Amino acid sequence: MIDLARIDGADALVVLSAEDRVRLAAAMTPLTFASGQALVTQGQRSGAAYLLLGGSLDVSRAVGDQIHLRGRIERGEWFGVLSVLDGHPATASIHALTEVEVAALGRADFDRLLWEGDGLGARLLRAWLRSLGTQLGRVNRGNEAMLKLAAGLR
Amino acid sequence: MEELTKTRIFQGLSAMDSATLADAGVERSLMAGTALVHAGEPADGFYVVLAGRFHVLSAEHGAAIGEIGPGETVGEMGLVTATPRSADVVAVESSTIWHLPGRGFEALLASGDPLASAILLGISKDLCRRFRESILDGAAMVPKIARYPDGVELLESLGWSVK
Repeated sequence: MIDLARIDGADALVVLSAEDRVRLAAAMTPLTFASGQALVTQGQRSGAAYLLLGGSLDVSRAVGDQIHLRGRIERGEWFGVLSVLDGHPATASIHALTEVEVAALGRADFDRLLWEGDGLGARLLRAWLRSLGTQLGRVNRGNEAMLKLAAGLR
Repeated sequence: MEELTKTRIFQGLSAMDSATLADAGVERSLMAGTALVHAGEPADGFYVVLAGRFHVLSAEHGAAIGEIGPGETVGEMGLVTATPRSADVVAVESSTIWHLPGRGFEALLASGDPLASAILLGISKDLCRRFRESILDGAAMVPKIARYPDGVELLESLGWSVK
């Protein structure tokens, strides 16, 4: 059984009640990855969304050979959500920098929460969409800054 | 209400869900020149345009930066984020909209009604598409930006690593 109390207070769970958390934990599978192992590969489909319980993850999005977008995922954050929602390939690769523990929620389990529960799936989905909306805003602000530089306005 | 199932985010809703959804919202008519939402005001649910035409106005200079017509939605992110409306949206001709108030959606969500899941899944389709498009748009600009004198500095401030 996954102990989500380890990440109590994380934004990913703050919208869920204690009862929701217990039911979510029961629907998820614990997985461990060794340092250097790939959890998600850019351009490939991922069949699960993951919640980071412990360890460090490196996010890398490559444009050609010489340019990469780097990022980190913090304990208590979800990743791989986009692929679960739309079924398309991952937009970035994610590797373990240390030994990593995650809780995985497969697409079929997510669908079950969405349609067979008492609204837990919908509450989880709203939290995911809120986070995606925030990330989209960040991406758009970056794109606007690049457009301004290209137009000589910066 | 058949028009609701023609909107991109509600395509695929069953006739029963569509009828339940229609009952959860209210229909409203607006005269030309009437604002549907104002930039900066708190979001309260979202709107589907049933008939007519709206302009999205720039918060900076007030010029029209987008047009919204029948079957399109306004403000659906208001159901998932607590952020205020980002632009003025004004009717440019006599128009009819359907409004799902925030409290109506919250009631569906709290009761565990599968319709709340259907609405959020519809929104997610649109959001995922926009997210992927923005990622691709940004990635397409990056190699060009890296050649500008200030480009590498900007890219690094956005998290890009350039060798």
